[in-house]
Amino acid sequence: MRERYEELEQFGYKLIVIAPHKGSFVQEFLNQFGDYPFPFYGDPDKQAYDEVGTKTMPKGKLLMKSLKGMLKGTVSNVIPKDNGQKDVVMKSMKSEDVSIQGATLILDEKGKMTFSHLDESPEDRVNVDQLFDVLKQQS
Amino acid sequence: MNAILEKTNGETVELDALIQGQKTVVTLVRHLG
Repeated sequence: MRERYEELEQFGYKLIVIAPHKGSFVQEFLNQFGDYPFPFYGDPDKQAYDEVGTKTMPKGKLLMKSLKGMLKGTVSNVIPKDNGQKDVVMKSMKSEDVSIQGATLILDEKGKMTFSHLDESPEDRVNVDQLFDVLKQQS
Repeated sequence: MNAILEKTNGETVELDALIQGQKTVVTLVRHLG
């Protein structure tokens, strides 16, 4: 989304990212991964996650997926090679409940939700192309 | 949307205040990185 943010703005939208971390850890992440054209916020108590009703993946299922990913070699691909970035990612994964899943919401200017997708799994998230398809349908 | 969020400088802000006045996409991520 970092590369297509101007396109999102052309639709009249802004983007905010919420992560289940303390704000100070979000800053650590940004220090390693660079600037983004949209803001990040920490939600260490997962209040937004609870409000939205995000799903959790059973730990056994998640473990099986991780094992399969390690065997296929896809898990190692998500760990950055840069040591600073790698440290942040490992700390992020170790310090948080990785069974929590994400979500994508679209809200109008009054804060009314016009679209929501609650991820069933890490692969089930709304990608950028899908997001723009929804925005085109709504415009 | 009453969740209280933390800015990167440690200040807090209510999610509701962030989403008023402009159409907004909110992404909740599993973890960073």
